[in-house]
Amino acid sequence: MTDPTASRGGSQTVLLVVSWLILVILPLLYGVVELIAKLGALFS
Amino acid sequence: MTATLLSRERSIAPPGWSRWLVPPAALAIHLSIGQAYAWSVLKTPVQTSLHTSAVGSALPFQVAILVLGLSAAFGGTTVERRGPRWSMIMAAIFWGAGFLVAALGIVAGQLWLVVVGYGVIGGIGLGLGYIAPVSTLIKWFPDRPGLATGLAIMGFGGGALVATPLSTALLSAFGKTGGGLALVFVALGVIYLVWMLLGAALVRLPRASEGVAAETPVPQGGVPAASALKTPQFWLLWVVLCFNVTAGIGVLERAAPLYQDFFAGMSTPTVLAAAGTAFVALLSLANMLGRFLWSTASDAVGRKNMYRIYLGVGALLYLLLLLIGPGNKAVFLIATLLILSFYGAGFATLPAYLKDLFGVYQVGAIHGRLLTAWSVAGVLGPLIVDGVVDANSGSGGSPASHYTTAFVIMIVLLLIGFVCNELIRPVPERLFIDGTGAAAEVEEGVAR
Repeated sequence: MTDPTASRGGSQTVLLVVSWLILVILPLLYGVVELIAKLGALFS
Repeated sequence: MTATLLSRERSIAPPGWSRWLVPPAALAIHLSIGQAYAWSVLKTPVQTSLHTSAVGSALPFQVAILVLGLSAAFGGTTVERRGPRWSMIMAAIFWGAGFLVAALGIVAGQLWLVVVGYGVIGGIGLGLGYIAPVSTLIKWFPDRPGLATGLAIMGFGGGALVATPLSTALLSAFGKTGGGLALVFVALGVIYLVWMLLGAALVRLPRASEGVAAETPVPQGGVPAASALKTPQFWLLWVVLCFNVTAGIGVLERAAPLYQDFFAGMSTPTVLAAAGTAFVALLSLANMLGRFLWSTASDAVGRKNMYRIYLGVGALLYLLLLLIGPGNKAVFLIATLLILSFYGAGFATLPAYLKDLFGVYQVGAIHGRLLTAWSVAGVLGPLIVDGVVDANSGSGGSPASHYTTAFVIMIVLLLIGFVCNELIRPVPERLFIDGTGAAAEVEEGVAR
């Protein structure tokens, strides 16, 4: 018999990973990479 | 049907819903509305395109911050009543529509339309979008409110980090004047609308009856917003926020010229200009990280103690800047980055402080009313720094010496804030009401 709780837990984990990645991590990563590229001028 | 879909009841989480799904929803909203901090990227193209002055092109941003405070203050109770999904969708529509109306203003060559679009319509989106995720996260993380609000409000600081390169790339692709600039505004409006709607779709309210987790039941009681406004605690905290923000804006508002004035003559103008831009970017990172790190620390150290650090150490850092900052890059960078991290942290720790004092019942509405302090500080900070520096610029001496009076004023304001924080005492128990009973009372009041 399938455990509905386990199935729900699995799909929720996918939702967790996807939502953090798309809504938060990737946009912030884009900003941080662009920022690091600028920092050299401050210490030259 | 739409009303049903957006209703507070429909956004209550099903059993077993992970509370870690709520921060990305909150961050999607705050990272989007945090674009406001990157207005400076659009400012010059708007100025050139509309043939207006520096003051004129700053107007959309200033009005947006002013309307943010007002809409948060007046919309706070509605946000609590209608729930986070309705509030976030409204925030998305207003923020996105603000860009579209501003784009029309650029095509028509009318600055007032850009002000109405970005400043007024967008500003309403800013206010609703700022408070809704925060009050939702506090309800999900009653055991760690500092971490929860730090996470959300970190997004507002980080919004500029994303918006700056995004806007620069769009300006390169579409152009910096006329129709091209209007397209940049349309693209930003659509991107932020979609990003915020995804957050709104994901957001959920915790189930009051079950609690977030077995060990952390959700407390629903607290002080109603109307009663909170009559307490000295609210107004003491208002002064604390106002002066902490004013002190941060002292650095933030003139970041690039501040760096160039403190290190004038040490490099060529070109190198200084590039370093000034890098300094602004670094400050935005400090602003963002301070919001998360210091606010999270407040869960262990205590809210009052953290504000002692923000205000007391902040005053010492301004003193350090005055005494050994000019020409000393290490001291200058450490002091300014810490000041900016305290500036951001002052915003981020505030909702948790409010929750400690007034409970969660109408924390969003109380938070909204307190943000009027931000509107005042937004005027006060630039007025002090720009006014003093401009007045001293003709008086001779090194460029860094022109900041002395402004920084002394900041130190005094921070010390006044420190004293106000010391005077804050717990709110009397008699002002607290039970969440369930009070909610019924409020609903009746609204119906009447």
